[in-house]
Amino acid sequence: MAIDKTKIREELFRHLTEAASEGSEAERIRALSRATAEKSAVTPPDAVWRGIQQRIAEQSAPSTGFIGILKGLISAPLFPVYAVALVGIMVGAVFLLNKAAAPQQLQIVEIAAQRPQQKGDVLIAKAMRIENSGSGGISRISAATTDKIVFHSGDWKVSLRHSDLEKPVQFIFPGGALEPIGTAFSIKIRPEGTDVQLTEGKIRLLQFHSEKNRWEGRELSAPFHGVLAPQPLNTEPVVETPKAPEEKKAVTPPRYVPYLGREITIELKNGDRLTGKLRSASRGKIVLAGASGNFTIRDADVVAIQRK
Amino acid sequence: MVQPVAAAQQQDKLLQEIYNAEAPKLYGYLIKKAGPELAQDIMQESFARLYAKLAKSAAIHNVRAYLFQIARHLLYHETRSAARVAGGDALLENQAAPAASEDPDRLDERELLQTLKDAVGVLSGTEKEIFEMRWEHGLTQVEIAAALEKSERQVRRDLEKIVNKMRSYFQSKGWGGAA
Repeated sequence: MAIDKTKIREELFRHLTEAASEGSEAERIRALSRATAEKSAVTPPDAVWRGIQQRIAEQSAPSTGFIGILKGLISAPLFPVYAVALVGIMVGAVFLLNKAAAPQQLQIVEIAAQRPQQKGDVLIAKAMRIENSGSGGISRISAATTDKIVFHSGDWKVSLRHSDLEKPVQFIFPGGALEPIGTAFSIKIRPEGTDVQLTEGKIRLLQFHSEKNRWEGRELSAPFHGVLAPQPLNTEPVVETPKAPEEKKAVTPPRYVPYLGREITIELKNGDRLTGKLRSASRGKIVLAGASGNFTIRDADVVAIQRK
Repeated sequence: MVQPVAAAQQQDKLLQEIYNAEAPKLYGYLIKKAGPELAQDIMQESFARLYAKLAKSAAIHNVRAYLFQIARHLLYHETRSAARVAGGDALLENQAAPAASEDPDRLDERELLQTLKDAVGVLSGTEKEIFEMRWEHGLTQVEIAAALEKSERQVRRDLEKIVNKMRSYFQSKGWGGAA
């Protein structure tokens, strides 16, 4: 007997949506579904069950080694406590490391007399940073026009912006002194001499020559590295400023000398004639005071001079 | 984690019972998707995880759905392709095989199954998977929802959509008029 296609189709759909149904078509679909499910089922080989047991045995085995301990800690009921303790230890370690590494900072304005500094101390003033890279002594002499930072001993690193300094600064150390010009430098004071290393910018290095008994200054640019001979500390370096070259006196060409201050007429190359009192004649130019004002004429343009 | 011997034995027994009842269905699902080697691996891992969950005395509302859910996840991660997890071309391929009997009712069933197989082609990937779980593996809507991590309402809606699509296809193939 052929089946009612519409009915069996709808029974199939009712079965899919789990809608309750009765009748022979419903029973056939249920049987068909069971048969399909049975056909789809595949008995796994025995190896699968053995594999499952093996995996379970591995799971149950107590874990060893670092990973095992870690897993144990993570799965332990006290895990939150361990986590908080671990975070606390890490924060503490970071804090201690920072404290050890961070240089102590002092204001340079506090330095009035020589005071010992420890390694890592940093002195900061406006536009200036002085770091003690080995214990040593430092002092400051402040005057109205200049600041003097005196390094008595130790190793020092200095960096500064010359343009931002409130007043000129001199750094003084045994055997010499220097005036920075936008600079980074380091000073190492040793019994055998003072080591000066310039890493940036320019300095004016003042050096005391005991044999000549006088200070000499010279301008140096980075990179520079030198050792100054050991000398007692002298906080008053005096350098003779070189005399400015004398200006050459204006010399009047001889042909104009007889006419200075007199009324003359000069004839120029272009044919013009100018009349006036000769004020001066020097450096290739002559100045005539005429009725309408002063004329400046190039000596080379003058062809002839006549006395009026 | 050390358990009392009696409790461990009880758990082993429970796992054995679950395995006997559910393994063929799950293995049939997996072997079609991933082939025997990967299917066996996923089977082992799925049951090992089930055992671990039972050891923690965690509540499992529906063991079959839980196993399908784990297996599906593992399959997804192993194959890295959702397409393979969704109902594949192999779906229903054996079901339209010629029956030994020449009974007219059997011939009608074969025709029904053949049309059903063809109708699967009009479904989307997720719909195919839902249909496969429902028809081939006999999972209930609740179990499908748990396995796919969807709400029951969503699965019901999906099934209704599947039925509507299939009805149109069946009608186009001469399987009766409007119901």
